Amino acid sequence: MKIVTNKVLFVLAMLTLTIALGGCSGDKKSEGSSESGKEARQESVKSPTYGGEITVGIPQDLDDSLDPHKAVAAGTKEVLFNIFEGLYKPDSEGNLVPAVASDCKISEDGKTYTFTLREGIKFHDGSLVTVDDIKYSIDRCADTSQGEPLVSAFSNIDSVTVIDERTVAVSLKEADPDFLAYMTTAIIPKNNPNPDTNPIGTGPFRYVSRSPQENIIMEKFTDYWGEAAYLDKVTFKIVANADTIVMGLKGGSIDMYARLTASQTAELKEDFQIYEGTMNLVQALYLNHDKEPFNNLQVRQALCYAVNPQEVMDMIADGKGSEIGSSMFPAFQKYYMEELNDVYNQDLEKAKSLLAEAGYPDGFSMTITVPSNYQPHIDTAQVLVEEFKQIGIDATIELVEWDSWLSDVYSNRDYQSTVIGVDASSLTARALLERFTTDNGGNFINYHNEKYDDLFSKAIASKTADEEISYYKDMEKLLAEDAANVYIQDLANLVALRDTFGGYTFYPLYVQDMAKIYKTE
Amino acid sequence: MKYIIKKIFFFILTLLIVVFLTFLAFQIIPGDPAVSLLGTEGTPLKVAALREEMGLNKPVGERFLTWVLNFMKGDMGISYSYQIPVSELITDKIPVTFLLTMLSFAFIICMGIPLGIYTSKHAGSRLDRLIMTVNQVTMAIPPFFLGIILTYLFGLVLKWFVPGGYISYSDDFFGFFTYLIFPAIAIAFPKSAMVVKLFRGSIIEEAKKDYVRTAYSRGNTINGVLYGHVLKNAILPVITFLAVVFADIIAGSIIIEQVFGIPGLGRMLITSIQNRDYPVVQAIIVCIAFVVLGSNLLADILLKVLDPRIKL
Repeated sequence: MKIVTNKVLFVLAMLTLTIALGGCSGDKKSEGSSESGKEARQESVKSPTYGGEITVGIPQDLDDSLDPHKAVAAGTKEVLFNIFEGLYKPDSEGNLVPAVASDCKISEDGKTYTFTLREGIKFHDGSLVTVDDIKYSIDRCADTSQGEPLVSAFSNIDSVTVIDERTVAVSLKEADPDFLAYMTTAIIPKNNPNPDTNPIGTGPFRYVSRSPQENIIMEKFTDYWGEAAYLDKVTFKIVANADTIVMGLKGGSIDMYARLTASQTAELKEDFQIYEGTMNLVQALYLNHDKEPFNNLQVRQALCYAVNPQEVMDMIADGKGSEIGSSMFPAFQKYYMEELNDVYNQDLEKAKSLLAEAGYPDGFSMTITVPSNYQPHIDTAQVLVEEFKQIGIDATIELVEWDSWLSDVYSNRDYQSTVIGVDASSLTARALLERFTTDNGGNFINYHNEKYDDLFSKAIASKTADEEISYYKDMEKLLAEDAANVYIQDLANLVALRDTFGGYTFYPLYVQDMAKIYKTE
Repeated sequence: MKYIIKKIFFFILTLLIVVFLTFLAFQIIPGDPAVSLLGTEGTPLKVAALREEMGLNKPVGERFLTWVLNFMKGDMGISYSYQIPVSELITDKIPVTFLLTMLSFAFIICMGIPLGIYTSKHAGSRLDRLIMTVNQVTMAIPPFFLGIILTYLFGLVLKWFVPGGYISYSDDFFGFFTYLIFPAIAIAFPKSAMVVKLFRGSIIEEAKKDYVRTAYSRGNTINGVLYGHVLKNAILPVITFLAVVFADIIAGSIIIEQVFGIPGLGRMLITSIQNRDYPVVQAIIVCIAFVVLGSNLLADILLKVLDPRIKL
C-alpha cells in the first residue's frame, strides 16, 4: 500500500512536468512544415510579386503621438513615413519629388510657391484631399500660439492662400532656396477628431492598429495615387530585448531588422540578406563649450588629434561606417566635404604639445555621459577613453538613462562631454547646422561664434542654391577648425532581410520605406 | 467583523502610502515627462508650454490629491506618451500578466506540494537525497537566467516554441497560452524548489510531535496520520510563504516579460518609468500593490479558517 501511494505521488509530480512540456509539442510540427516551405521557395526565381506580409522588428515602441506634426521620436517618424506624405516627398537619392501636389511654381523673387493639388488624390478614409486640408496642415505647423511653430522653418511663412479648388499659394517673408524641403511636412485631413491616435494620411500604407508594447499594423492603401506597395500588410513588432533580436530573426518571428551590429549580422549568414548602408547620423564626442576645460580651443583640438575614427570603426563595427570631419554626413552629397576628415589626423605628439600649451601638461580628468540604451555610442566612448589615455587624459564613462540624458545633457546642458548621434529632420543642411548658432534652443554644446551666426544668417538669406551651399560649407569648415566637437563617424547601418523578400532601399533620412519591399516567390 | 474592517482600513492606507511614495520618487529621480516627450526637438519654450498643459507646474501635494480624487471616480488619466486613456492601456495588459502569474502559481503548487510530501515521507532515501540536491541547485537559479536557458534549449535547439513569437490572446488564445508555459516554468522552478524545501522541513518537524505518536498508538497507518493530521498543521507555514511567493511572482514576471518579450504589465511599467509617463506608472503600481496586499489578506483569512486558534 505504502509503495503504491508513493509511486502515485511521484508519477503525479512528474506528470505536471510532462503536461507542461507536452503542451508545446504542437508548435514543433508547424515549425517543421514552415521550414520545408521555405526551402521550396528558395529554389524558385527571385522576382518581385504583389501580396504577402512582413514582420519588421523595431527596437522601441511607438509610445508617442501618432500625429505626424507632433511625433518627435525618430522611431515613430520612420514608421509614419509610410502613412503620410507632404506636398513633396524625399526619394532615396535625396531629391524632392511631387506627392500630394502634382506641381509647384516658384515666383521669380523666390517668395511665392504655388502648388497644384494632385487630381483625385485620396486620404486613407476615402475622402478626397482638398486645398483646405493643405492650408489647414501648413497653418497648423506654422501656428505660433504655443510660442514657437511646430516646424521652425515655418516662421518664414507669411500667408497661405487658397486660390481655387486645386491651387494653393504659400508666400514667404524672405526667399529661401530650401523651402521646398520643408514642404515634406505631412498633409492631414482637417476633420480628423483624433489625430493623436488615428493617423490618416495619403501614403502607400494605411494605419490599422497599434497595440502598445506589441506591434503596429498597417495595410496597403489600394487607392494610392502613385506606385502601389507590393506587400498587403506590414507588422512592426516591438523587440524590446536586444538579446532576442537574433533569436527572433532565426526563429522566424521577425523577417527584417535594421541597425544591427556587425556581430549580430555575423550570426545571420543563413536565410538572410544583409544590406549595408549608413545611419545618417553625425556621431561625435560633443563637448560642452561652457565647461572647463572645453572652453579652450587648444584642448578641443588636442582631443581631435588624439582620436582615430578608423580605429573606432574597427573596434565597434569591423571597420564599417564612414568617417566624418564636421556636422554633415556623406548622404547629403551637396553639402558634404570629404576634405574636412583630414583637418585632424591622429597625432599624439601634437595633441600632447597642444595640451601643454593650453596649461594641462599632465592632462586632466573628464566625464563622458552616454545614454545607456545606445550600444554603439557606449562602445565608441570606450574606445575614446583608451585613446585619450595615450595623451594623459583620464576619461570616465557615465551611463545614464535616455530620459536623464534628455533632461540633464540636452535640455539643461549640465554635462562635460557626451557621445551621441545627431540626425537631420529634413533634407537640408540647415537641419544639421542651425542648432549651433548661439541662441538656438538645440545648441546643447553652447557653441558661440559670431562668425558662424553671421554665416548662417547669410545662408538662409541667400537667393540661389549655389550661394547657399557655399555658406553652409563655410559653416562646416568653421566647426571643424574650431574643433567644436570631436567628429567621429556616420555609423554603419546593417539591415537583415529574410531572403524570401527583396527591395530594401536606403534613404538619406531616418526612414524605412516599406512600399519598395516585395516578396520573391 | 471588526477584524475585517480594521484590515481593510490598513489595506487602503497602505495603498495610499505606496502611491504617494511613487509620486515622491519621481520628484527625486532626474528626467521630466515634458522633456521626454519632446525629445531632441524640445526647446525651453516648447517644454514650458507642454509642462503647463500637462499640469506639471502644480505642487506635488496638489497633484497627488487630484490624482486620488480622480482615481476614486474611476478616472486614471491619459497616458502622456500614448495619448490614450490609462484604463484602456492597462485593461489590455492585465489578462497577460494575470494568466502568467496564475500559471506560474499553479506550477509552483503542482510541483512543490507533491514533491514536498514525497521527499518528507522518504527522508534520507537515495531518491530524496537526489531530489534535495537538485532542489538546492534549482533554488539558486535566478528566473531570468533560467528563462535564457529555456529559450535557448527549447526555442532554438529543440524548436518547441518560437523565441519572441508572442501571440496576442485576442488573436489566438491557445497560441498565447502555450507561449506562456515556458516563461511560467522559468518563474515557477526556483520558487517551487523553495516550497519543496519548506514543506518537507515542516512535515518532518510536525511528525516529531507528541500528537503524531498518539495517532500512531491509536492504530492509524502512516498515510492516515500524514493526511489526516500532519499535513493540516504542516501546511500553515507554507500558506504564509505562498502569499509571499505570489508577490514575488509578480516581481519576477516583470523581468521574465522582458526576457521572453511578453507585452504585459511589467514591461509596460518599465517603459513608462523610462518615459516618465506618470499616470501609467501610478495605475500599474496601484494594481500591483492591490494584488500583493490582497494576497496577503487572503492568506491571513485562510490561515484563520484552517486553524481557528490563530489570533491576528
